[in-house]
Amino acid sequence: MGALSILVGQEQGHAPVTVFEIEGDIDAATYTELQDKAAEAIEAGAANLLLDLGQVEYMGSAGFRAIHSIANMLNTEQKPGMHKSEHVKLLNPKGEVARVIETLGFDSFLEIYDDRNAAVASF
Amino acid sequence: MVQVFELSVESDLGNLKAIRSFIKEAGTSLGVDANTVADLCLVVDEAVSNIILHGYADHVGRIDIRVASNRQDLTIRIRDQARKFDADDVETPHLDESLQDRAYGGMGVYLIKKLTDEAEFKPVPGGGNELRLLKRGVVPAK
Repeated sequence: MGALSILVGQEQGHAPVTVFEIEGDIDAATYTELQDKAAEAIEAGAANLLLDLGQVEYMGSAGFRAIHSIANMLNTEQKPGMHKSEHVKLLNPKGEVARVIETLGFDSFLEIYDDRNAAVASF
Repeated sequence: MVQVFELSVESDLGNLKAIRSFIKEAGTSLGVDANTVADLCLVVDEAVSNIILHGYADHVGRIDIRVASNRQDLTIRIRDQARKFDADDVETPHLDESLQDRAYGGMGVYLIKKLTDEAEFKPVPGGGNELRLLKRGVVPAK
């Protein structure tokens, strides 16, 4: 396994933003790599995470489980009703990945950007 | 003419990518459009992941996948020798609930049902399970 490559970068929006440039397929064999890398970053102090999915060719429900888990690690304050996460956002999902995001309703709860600067500035 | 594609693999998560490639090659050979092929890769990946993680769990077994065209319809049959699986036991995810309130899991079976015209889970006499998936009208007429 180990088929996922995650390059970690730092950007400055209104707040510091940790950017994960993810490359590879996120499936049941690899999703824990993403989850573990996020837990490691959060443990080290990351409070805002931008997941760049531009090089992800495939993402199944395991990938969404990882993102769900990351969102809950970062969204510690409880807010009633419908709202989008302020601390985890997605960049550049392509093709089937973008379609499945909609099918699973994640677009209602996560902001999705196609421009990295705009995404970073949104934090 | 009926065209058949078959693959038999061990229940190893490391085989998921090869299984998706097999479905992509079979679907593309049959002339199925790219979006439908992508949906079928996802559906089969979800089904096989469930078999490996929850069916066979801590032991290894075989998974047999058969893709067949029947006129304009496409069927995929996935068989295992794992413990009995009942799709009715899997709670449907509440997609309108916030991520904080939403339970983990259930998305795989949801996607399997959502992205196919029929998805029938049934036990195989003598042990194991069979999942039969149907997509209607996706194979172009020759």
